[in-house]
Amino acid sequence: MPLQVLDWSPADSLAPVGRVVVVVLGATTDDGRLAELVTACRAKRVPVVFAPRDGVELPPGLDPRPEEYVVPRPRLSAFLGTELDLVLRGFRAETVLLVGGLTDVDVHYSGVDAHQLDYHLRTDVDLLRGSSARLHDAALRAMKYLQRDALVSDAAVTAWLDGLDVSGEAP
Amino acid sequence: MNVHGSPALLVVDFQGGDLTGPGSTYTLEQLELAKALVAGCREQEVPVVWVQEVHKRHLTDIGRELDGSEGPHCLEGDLATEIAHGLGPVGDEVHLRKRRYSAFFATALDLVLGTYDVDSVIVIGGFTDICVLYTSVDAHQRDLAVTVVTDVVAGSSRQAHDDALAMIEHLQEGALATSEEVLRWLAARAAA
Repeated sequence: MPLQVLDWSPADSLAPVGRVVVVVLGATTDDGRLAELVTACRAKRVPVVFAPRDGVELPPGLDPRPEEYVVPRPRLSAFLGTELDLVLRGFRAETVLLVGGLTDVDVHYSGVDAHQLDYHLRTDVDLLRGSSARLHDAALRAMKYLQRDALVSDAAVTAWLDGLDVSGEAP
Repeated sequence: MNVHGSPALLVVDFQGGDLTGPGSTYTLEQLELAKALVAGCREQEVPVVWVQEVHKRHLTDIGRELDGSEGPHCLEGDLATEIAHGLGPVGDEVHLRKRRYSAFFATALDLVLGTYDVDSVIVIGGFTDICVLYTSVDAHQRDLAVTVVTDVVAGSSRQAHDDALAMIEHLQEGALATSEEVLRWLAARAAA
């Protein structure tokens, strides 16, 4: 039988595979921090794609630039009925870092599609909240079941970005 | 229960051959319940769609499925990969093989459900927390009503099973039903 996930605390380091694209799914527990993170990605030339739910405003302070992709999603998964996969392929992304949205809905169901499309999945757990504490934990367990390295702390994301040079490459 | 006027029964990964292998996912009791549901659906002309996860032994098609809790699984040619003995397609029932968790992913399921013109799906099989959950999520996102038969699904662990049922109920209120309720619905349809 498969291994049961008993510990779903996030890893304190982020070691992505290949090129990373950050996908912002919606509001976080700290939208000021989210804006900082997006700014840091831009400084390190890590592509950011915005995939808000159709009709839902992006959190304040993100201000997508003309060259960035905004991919509104009609359903829960950011991959269903959208151009997200095409955009990620264009960037030659191998790892998708999901940020924001509801853990058990937006993140889990976008995450499983990323997984099924063969992307390496990561999510910044500290910026997430679920529909309830019970469903938040359940979704984190489920994502760790899919990919054992999927859950990372916000400090790990910061340290990873800090370690990149300005062309977005790891030294 | 979210079974509507025009459902299809999705039998998702009800595999394991004779179910005597080590760590068999399903109990023989569940096999009997599955057989009863399949028979009831056939009698009422509710389409039965068979979904089976199969991977080539060279694992070219395994994707990221080894990056988490699972080892190599559902290998072509293994007894454990066969649809449970006593179940399986008859006549012109559709049998779809898949490489990923969701039965909708890279399969003809959308097209098949379109030809049957269904508005809801009844899901049995496993794992509750993997193929049943992600098939149910995709059905939900395609605007289908979903009913997961709680005593005819099996999880990768008890906790993961319970987690998945909570997720499915959160997606669609009323999406959980027992085999008894579904069989009663089928019987009422027969009497009508």
